[in-house]
Amino acid sequence: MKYIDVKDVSLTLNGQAILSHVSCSFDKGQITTIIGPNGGGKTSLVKLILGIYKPSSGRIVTKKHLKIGYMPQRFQVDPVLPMTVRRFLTHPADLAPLNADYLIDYDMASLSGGEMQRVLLAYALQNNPDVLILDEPTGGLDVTGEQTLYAHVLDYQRQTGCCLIMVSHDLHFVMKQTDQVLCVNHHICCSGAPETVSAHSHYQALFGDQAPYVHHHDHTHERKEHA
Amino acid sequence: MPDFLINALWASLGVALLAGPIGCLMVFNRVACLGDTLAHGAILGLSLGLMMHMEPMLTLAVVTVAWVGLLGFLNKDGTVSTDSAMAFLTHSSLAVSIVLFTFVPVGASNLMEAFIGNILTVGREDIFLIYAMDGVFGVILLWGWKKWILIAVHPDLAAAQNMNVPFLRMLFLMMIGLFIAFSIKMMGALLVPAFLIIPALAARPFAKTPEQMAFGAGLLAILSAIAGLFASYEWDTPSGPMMVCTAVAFYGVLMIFKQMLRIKRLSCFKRNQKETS
Repeated sequence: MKYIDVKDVSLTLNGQAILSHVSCSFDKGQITTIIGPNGGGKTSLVKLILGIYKPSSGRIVTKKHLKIGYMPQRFQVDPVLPMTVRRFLTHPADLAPLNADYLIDYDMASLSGGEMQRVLLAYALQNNPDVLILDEPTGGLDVTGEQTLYAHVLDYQRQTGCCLIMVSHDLHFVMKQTDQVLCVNHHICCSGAPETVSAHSHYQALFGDQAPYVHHHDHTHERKEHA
Repeated sequence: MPDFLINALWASLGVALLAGPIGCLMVFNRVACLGDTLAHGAILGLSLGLMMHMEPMLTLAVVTVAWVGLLGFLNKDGTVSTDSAMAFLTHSSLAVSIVLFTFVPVGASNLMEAFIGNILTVGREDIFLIYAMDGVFGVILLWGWKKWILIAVHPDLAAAQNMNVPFLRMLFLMMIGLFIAFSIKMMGALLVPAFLIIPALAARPFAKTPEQMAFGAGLLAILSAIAGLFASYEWDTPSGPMMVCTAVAFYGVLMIFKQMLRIKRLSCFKRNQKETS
């Protein structure tokens, strides 16, 4: 049985159709990237998977006893709430690999965007999740911070073989590291291995200009063929 | 000490015991004004009870809980914000209850007592009721505290951990409603909300974690209750307002203390800079 199976799911919020007839699945060891335009329903799809939203129709079957780590889109902690990073995290030691252990006694409300992202990633990772869901994890990070974060996430994925689901605008990363790409714009306009998706007309229409040329020499699927 | 004062002391301690942590949760979730809304709903419930010759505590609790539901209904789709919905309920229940009180014999004195309470008429049953409430709500608070704090950080983080956020929110609001309903006799509808919020605000600058803040607020609430009660006995002033005044005084003193600490730290910093340069 797959970890997460989304079966013909539609979502309507306050009378607005957000997603219609979405089917996709996520499994152990698989890296999925969800791309698509703003307001296309990427975050809604993630929230459906997490059970934060209930589908208006269709259903989502999740394997029992899965531990899920979730990093929501960047947000600010309200300064009315006193909360140190140490109090927020169960295992503050998780900050070290992200070069963020200096944040330990900081107040959550005083963190910058990039610092917040690293604390949130440490939070998502703290129970050794089987499924790691990251919603635009590199928002607010500079190039180095972005690379450190991706490297850490991929390290964790490689070590544990967890199922990794990411919402990302970073097409370069998408094409290089991902097993499955879902392009979401109220429905799934195209999906599959990165090279299939990038050749797809819908993808071209959405990302045509900015889609980077990618040479596939380091892709796992190709490596398998050579072996 | 006279009997009525001992009763009053036990009753106000019972109210103060949970006012700290509940008030903190209200501040964290930005529903500080909700206390007023529910208290005004409670006055409406009281006037309905007196008018229809029903047990006022019952009608009061029913209307307060109903107001929590109504509030959720009013801002269901987000086009009416929570604060507007709260204002609407506050003002409408106040207007309706004042009109209703004119149909109640000796309505005016009833109305005044509903607004500012009368802790000196508290009997043994009232005290028993308050501590029973403390017991139940204490257990609920211990069970739900971490969950409510996580919701205050970000509701999605809580929902992703299989917490039923709408249910937890509703439970929390119901708890505030019932807390206010049960405390009105001691402190009055206009003052219970103040007693929830002011100690929490006074504790905020000294707290690094929500737990520290709840502890500090609880301590301040208890001190304000005791000091306020004795001050009201000494100077023959109404007890509910006196307790709130004491809490305000604590707030003022702590703010000044905090400012002085900051100035001292700043001057130390400047002196160090001079010495190094």
